[in-house]
This record gives sequence, structure tokens and C-alpha cells, in this order.
Amino acid sequence: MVYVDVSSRKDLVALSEQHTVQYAEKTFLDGLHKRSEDIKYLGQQRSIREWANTLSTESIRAVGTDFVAFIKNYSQYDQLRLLDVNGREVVRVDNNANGPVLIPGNKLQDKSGRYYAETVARLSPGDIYMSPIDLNVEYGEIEQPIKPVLRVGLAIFDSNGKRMGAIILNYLIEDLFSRIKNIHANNDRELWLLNSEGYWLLGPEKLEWQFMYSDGEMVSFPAKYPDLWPYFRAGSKSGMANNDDGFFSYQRFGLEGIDEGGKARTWILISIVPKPVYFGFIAPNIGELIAIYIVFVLLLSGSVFSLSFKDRLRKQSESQLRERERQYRNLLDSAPDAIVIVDESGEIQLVNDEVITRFGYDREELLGANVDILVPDNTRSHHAALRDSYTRAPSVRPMGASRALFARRKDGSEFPVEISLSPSHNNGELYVTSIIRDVTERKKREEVYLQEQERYKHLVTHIPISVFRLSSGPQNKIQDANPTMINLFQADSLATLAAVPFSQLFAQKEDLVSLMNHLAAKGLVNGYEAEMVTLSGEKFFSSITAIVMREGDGGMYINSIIENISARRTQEEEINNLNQVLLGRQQELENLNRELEAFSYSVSHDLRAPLRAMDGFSQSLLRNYADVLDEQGVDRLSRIRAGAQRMAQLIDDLLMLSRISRYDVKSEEVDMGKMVHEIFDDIKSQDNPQRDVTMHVMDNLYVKADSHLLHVALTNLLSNAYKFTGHTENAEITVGVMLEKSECVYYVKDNGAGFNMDYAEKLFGAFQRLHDTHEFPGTGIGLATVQRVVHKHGGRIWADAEEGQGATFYFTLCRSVE
Amino acid sequence: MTRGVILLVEDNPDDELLTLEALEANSVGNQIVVARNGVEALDYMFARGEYEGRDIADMPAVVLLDLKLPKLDGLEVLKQIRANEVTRLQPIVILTSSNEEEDRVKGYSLGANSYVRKPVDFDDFVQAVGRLGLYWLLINEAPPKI
Repeated sequence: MVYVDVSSRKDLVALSEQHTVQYAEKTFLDGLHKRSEDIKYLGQQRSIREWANTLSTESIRAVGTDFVAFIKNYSQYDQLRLLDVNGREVVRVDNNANGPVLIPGNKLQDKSGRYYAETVARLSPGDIYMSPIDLNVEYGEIEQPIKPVLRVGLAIFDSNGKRMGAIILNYLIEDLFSRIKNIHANNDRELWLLNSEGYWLLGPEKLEWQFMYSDGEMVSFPAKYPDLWPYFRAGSKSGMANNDDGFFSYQRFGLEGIDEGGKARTWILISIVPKPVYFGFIAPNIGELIAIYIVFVLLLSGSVFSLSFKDRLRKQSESQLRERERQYRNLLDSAPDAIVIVDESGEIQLVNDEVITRFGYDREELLGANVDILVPDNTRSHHAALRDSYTRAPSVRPMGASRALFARRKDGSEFPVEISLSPSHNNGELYVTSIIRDVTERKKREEVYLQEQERYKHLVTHIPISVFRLSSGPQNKIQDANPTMINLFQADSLATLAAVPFSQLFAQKEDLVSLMNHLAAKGLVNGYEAEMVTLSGEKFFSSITAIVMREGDGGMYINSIIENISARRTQEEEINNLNQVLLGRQQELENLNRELEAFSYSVSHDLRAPLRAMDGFSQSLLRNYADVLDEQGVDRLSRIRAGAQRMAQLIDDLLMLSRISRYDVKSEEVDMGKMVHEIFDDIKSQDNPQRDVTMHVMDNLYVKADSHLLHVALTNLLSNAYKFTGHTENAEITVGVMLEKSECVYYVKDNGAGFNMDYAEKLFGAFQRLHDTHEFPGTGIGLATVQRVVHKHGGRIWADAEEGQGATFYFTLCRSVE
Repeated sequence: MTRGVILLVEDNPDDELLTLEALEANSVGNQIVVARNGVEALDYMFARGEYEGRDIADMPAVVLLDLKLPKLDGLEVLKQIRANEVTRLQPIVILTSSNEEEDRVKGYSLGANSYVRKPVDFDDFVQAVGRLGLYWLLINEAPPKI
């Protein structure tokens, strides 16, 4: 029975469960045994013996006094009665809320028909009767709150051995049940107690005591677990089984040694490890399990040595016993935790190797010593008191159930520990198994973790942005907020802010509704803008970013940040206003431009017609009336024609100048050398193809420019150069590029008339002329046009000249080039 | 020389006179019809109003069309002539003062056959008109009648 293979974790669970049901059985039977002791004690009272022999009124009174005294001391008893041989009540003491009450003679009842009275009537001297456990019934109704009762009976005989009556003691068994329930008080497992028929006395809620109710369907273990019941009912006395609900360990037992008459009555104790717990046995406390195992072994070996030492010796050789002991010892010493077993007085009975290592004592120093030496000096004084209170109400205390504890090494140093305690009884002796786990490393990790937490907290507390957490659901409430958030809403504390419904912080409630709809749909909202109100009623614009977080249990909350964007809003509004103004200006400019276009359009059409008339009719006069015109007349008409034609040229040039201003510059690769040659050939052919002018153009002269505008500019510059070299012998025109301060500077150079640099600044103004018209004719608009083209490209233009020594025009075509 | 009519659409009497003189100087003997605004020009083309009863199929040899006109401008006149099933193939020369790019783009887009800018210099003007006459009345083959 002690054979256990602890190689697997599940076996350990099984072992632990076996121990549990056995421990529960022991607790249960001990409880019943105590009841039999109590009733035997009552039966031996002088007043009872007196009554059995005399049946005197005096003896009845004495029994009443004794009964009241007894009940006063044992509140777990509900009722104590003396029945005569016919089953009539002679003395009855009820235990009610105010204490024991002796029932007057006229209220006593005849109980002869009751099953317990009949059973007791057949008992032999010294035998004890124990009733089935059921609920107390008063006047045909189950008493509420329910009152589970066990009736204990003892037959009374006179000194001649004549049957005289019986004592019936009602025991409120709840007292015992709660002790059994406590065994599993701190874990996920359950303990059930079934009666012989398989009804739950202890078990799942609402399924207990079903047999007491005749109405409705009576749910029993056999009905729910038909597969298990046959084994539990009639198989071996203890065992294990698995099904979909979990892992079952059972122990079936009866009343042997207590109520020989009630042998047929059995109970079954079942410990259940729910399936998820059993299979997913998460980080099982292996040390704890081993300790339970040790306790179990201890219990059994205790019985080997005390109860049936001789019997066992017959069955097992001493060497086998030694071998087993050695195995336990190995197991104990291989446990990762320190394990100390002490007796009721606190004397150390057993320690494992880990205790030696951790505490620095020799084994001999510890065995027999008081466990208090392992306790730090400052707590040692209370420890005895704590042990005492534990001994009075021993229970299983898992690891970590108590507050921070420390242990003391031999050298006086202390270390943090967690301690679990498991009590075990053996022959009335209490042993406490204590597993002591050194948590120094874990505390360090916790410390690191706490520091990390602290850093995060510091970050959130001091970040200059409002951070908060919101409960989700119809009533959004602020659960947490950092100081920036609290200040933003002008609250004096988190509590004040949290007390306000979140919707109250919105100037327009629809904004919150819409925000929540977004969140519900997307789970995340980025930069949602809404007008909000502080607790003091100040309004501001905010930008809200929020995310929905889901908790493991399906609950939700919202993490969010809020920025006050009022300043930004104001700036944006200013920018908007400025933009509006600019838009207005642009509109005005566009209108002006349109007017200008319309103006130049009509100039182009209408201003030329009168000139054409002047020229045309002058010519008509010259041709058709030559005979009546003298020389002067002809000259004046010629001057009218020249004037008209010059004005037409002027108009064309001015139109060109204004057109350039409105022109959109395109950027394209232009072969400037080729363009220069074409323009030059054009100029020459229109003027005098015979004139000898040498043209030098640099090779590979490519530029990025608008080809149409460049053509206009070069035509003007080249026409000028051609024109102003008109009186020069060996006229030369050079076009090229040079790199100056990483800028491409283009130039058109001639060796013509040049000009006085004093007037250079007038050069590029419209209608500005530095030469007499009769010498070099022109409108004075050409260079203004060139300058406009250059400016349109983002470039600059300047000139260098000397009178009679030629001129050079330089220009660039962009603001700055790498 | 074809004996077709030349339709001169011109609102400026000076220009009208100069054009007629230039045509005469080039010995162009064709009948010249002058329309002084866009509506008149279209009345002639579509044989309506003053010209009701004229055979619409009897198209001018060439239309000399100014752009700036009272009532209906030259480009509109051009558009309507091109839109009419009978007159759509009519040879049309835009003869105007401006050389605005916008005018040239629109003129050609609407289907002008030529674009000639009237020079201010009368000698140049006479030469240009002479060349126009030579080309449209002698060299060019008229479109078939529809």
C-alpha cells in the first residue's frame, strides 16, 4: 500500500489525494469516536446509575442537572435525552440559542416508535449506536437553516443487568464537516462525503441532502457517475479513477470499533481534482507534494511502531523496513526546499539535507531542538504563541499564504522565506510538516520588477501629456489619470476627476458618442478632436488618442491620451484667416491679370488698325497723288509712315514684354549653340547678308531653360550685338559660358560701340536708350525684355562695357547651381 | 482666275478701304461682298436676312475674316460656318491685326485654313493681299459643292 513511484508528477498528485482522503477519513472517524467516548462518559454518571437502579424522582432531577451541565460545556450537541425502557422521554435537555434548557415533565414525548429508540432498545451493554446522518426534522418539516444531525445512543442497564432505558445524544455534525472541508480550503480540489446509498452529505452545492427531500428528482452520485459507483460502492476500500470531470480518489469506511451494530453502514470520502487542475497541474509545488508524502509515510510508520508493531514485524522483515526508510530519506533529501517536521511542542523530529545547507547547522544540533532557533531573534518571542494557536486549530497552509517571513541561519544572518504548514495526526499526536523555501532570489527579482514598475510610474506621472484609463461600457468613468491629466481638467485630485462622468468633460456630448462609436468599430482612435470642459467650466480643444484594451475575462477598458490643442487651433485659425486674406489678394491679382490680358489683347488688335490706316493712306497718297505733291509733301508723308511703323514696332515689343511676365516657364534641355547660330543667320539675312561679322560660339553649349523665352532673350542680345558692331571693322560676336563661384555664367560679347558704364544702371529699364536713334535705331525695350526673361528663370543679368571698346552681357539662368 | 465671290468680313472702314485698294492693286477682279459684322457674314453664308434667296450652295471662293467684330466675333462666325453641313468646307482665311498666340491656337482649332496678320506697312500689306489672292483664287482648288 505504501508502494509509490514518485517518478511522475501525476503519481504525486494521486499520492497526495490518497493521503487527503485517508486524512479526512481519520478526521471523520476520530470525530465519531469522540462522540462515543462522550456518551460512554454520560452513561457512567452516578445520577444515571442511580436512576437505573431506583427510577426515583430525585435521580431524575440529578440526571437533569448533569445533562444541563454537560450540554453547557459541549455546544456541538443539540439535544440530550434519557428514555425509559418503553421509549418515553424521562429527561430532555435542548440546546437553544440561550443555552441548555431542561424540558418540563408535561412537555416530554413518547418516542417509542422512532427507529433510533427501537434500535437502542436492542443494544447490548457497552455497545454504542450511531444513527445515519440526516437533517433535523421538527414537526414534520426540515429545520431551516438545515441542521445535519448524528444521533448517538447507549443502552442503560441496572446493576443486575436489566435493561432500563437509553441515552440519546444529538450531535450537530456540521462541526465535523467543516473540519473536513477545511482540508481542501486553500486549493482547487474538493472533498465529498457520500452515505451508503450514494447521496451527498458533503458535495456539490444544491446536491447535498437530496435523500431528505421526497419531492423532485433525487440526484445522487450513482445517478451522476454510474460508471464509478460500482467500484466505489463494492470495489476495494480505496482507489482512484479518472473521468471527464477529473481525478477521483476514494476511501470507503464503516463504523468498525465504534458501532458494531452499524457495520453495514458505510461512508465514502472522495477527493476530486478537477480535470483542468489535474492535467494542467501548473508548476506543482513538488516540495509540498513530497512533504505530504512524507507525512503520509510518517503516519504509517507511526502505526507500525505503535499500534501493531508486532503484527507488522511478522509480515515484514526489519531489513525491508530499513530499505523503505532509506528510500524515504533519499526522497526527502532530494527535495529542493528545506523540510522540517516538528511535534506538538515544537521539537524538531526530522530535517532534510536542504535544512542543513540553508541554515548551517549540523543535523545533530537540530534534532530534538526547538524549532524556534530557526526563527529570527526579533520574532522568536511570539513564535511559541503562534505555534500554540496553530496547534489548537491546525490546517493546511499553502506557500505564500502568510505575510513576509524571515528565517535565521546559525550564524545569525536572516533570509526571506515562504513557509507552508501541513498538520498530521498520529495516535493523537500532532505533527507539523513545514516546508521552508528560500525566496532570496525571487525577492531580488521582485525588487527589480518593482523598480521597473516605479520607473514606468515615474514616466507616466511626469510626462507632460495627459494619460488616463477609462472604464468601458455605457457609463465611461475615469479609473486612473496622471497629474498632467488632473491639472488639465482643473481637478484637485484623481478622486474628484473620477467622480465626474466622462461625458461631462465634453462640451458637446455627441463628440463622446462619436468617439466611442469609432473606438467600437476600429479599436483605436488617433487624434480625435473635440471641445472639452474642465471642472471649472473652461473650454479647450483637445486631441484624443485612445485604444481599447481587452482583459482575460472579457472585460474591457480604454487607455488614452489627451492633448490640449487650443493654442494650435488658434494658430490654425490665424493661418486660415491669413490664407483667406491671401486668397482674396490672389483673386484681386488674378482679376488684374485678366484685365491686363484683355488690355493687351485689345492693344494688339485695336492700336494697330489706326497705324495701318495712317501708313496705308499715306502710301495711297504718295502713289496716287504723286503729281500734286512737292518734295516736302512727299517727305512729310514718308515721316508719317515711318512714325506709324515705329509705333507698330513699339507696340509689338511692349506686348512681347508684357507677355513674358504672364508666361509659365518650362524647364528643358536646350542646345544654345545651335539656337545662337539660327538666330544669327536670321538677323543677317533680314539685314544684310553681305556684312562681314564673325560669330564665335563655344562648343557644347547646353543649358536648362525655357527654349521660347531663351530664344526671345538671345534674339534681343544678338540683335544688339549685331546692331552696335554696325560701324566696326572686323566685327566679332562671341557667345560662351564660364564657371564663376560654381555658377554658370553665360555671356554675349561684342567689339562694337560699347557704352559708358556711368549709365549702366539705366540699361535694363524700358524705353531707356544710351544711343541716338539716328545712329542705332531701336525701341529701348529689348534689354528690359531680356532682363525679364532672365528673372523669370531666377537668374541675374549685368553688363560690362567701355565706350568704343564693345560690350559684354552676362547672365545666369537659375538662382544657384551646385 | 475663278469668278467666285470674295467675302470680306471687316468692321473697320479704313481697313475695308485699304483691303479693297490692296485687292485692286493686285488686279483682283472678283466680286467682293463686305460684311461689317459677324451676323451679316453668317446671313450671307447661310442665305438669310438681307441675303435671303441666294443659293446657299454657291459658296465664296474665300472668306477673309477679321476676328474683332461687333455682335458676333470672328471665331464664332468660323465655328458656325464649320458647324453647318453645307458650308463646312468653306475656305476661310483669318485676316487680323493681332498675332496673339491665343487667337492663332483658337483659329486653327476651329478649322481656319490660314492665319494672316495684317502688316502696318502698306507695301507689305499689298504684297500679302496679292499673295493671298494668287493662292486662294488661282492655285487652290475649291472644295466640291455639297
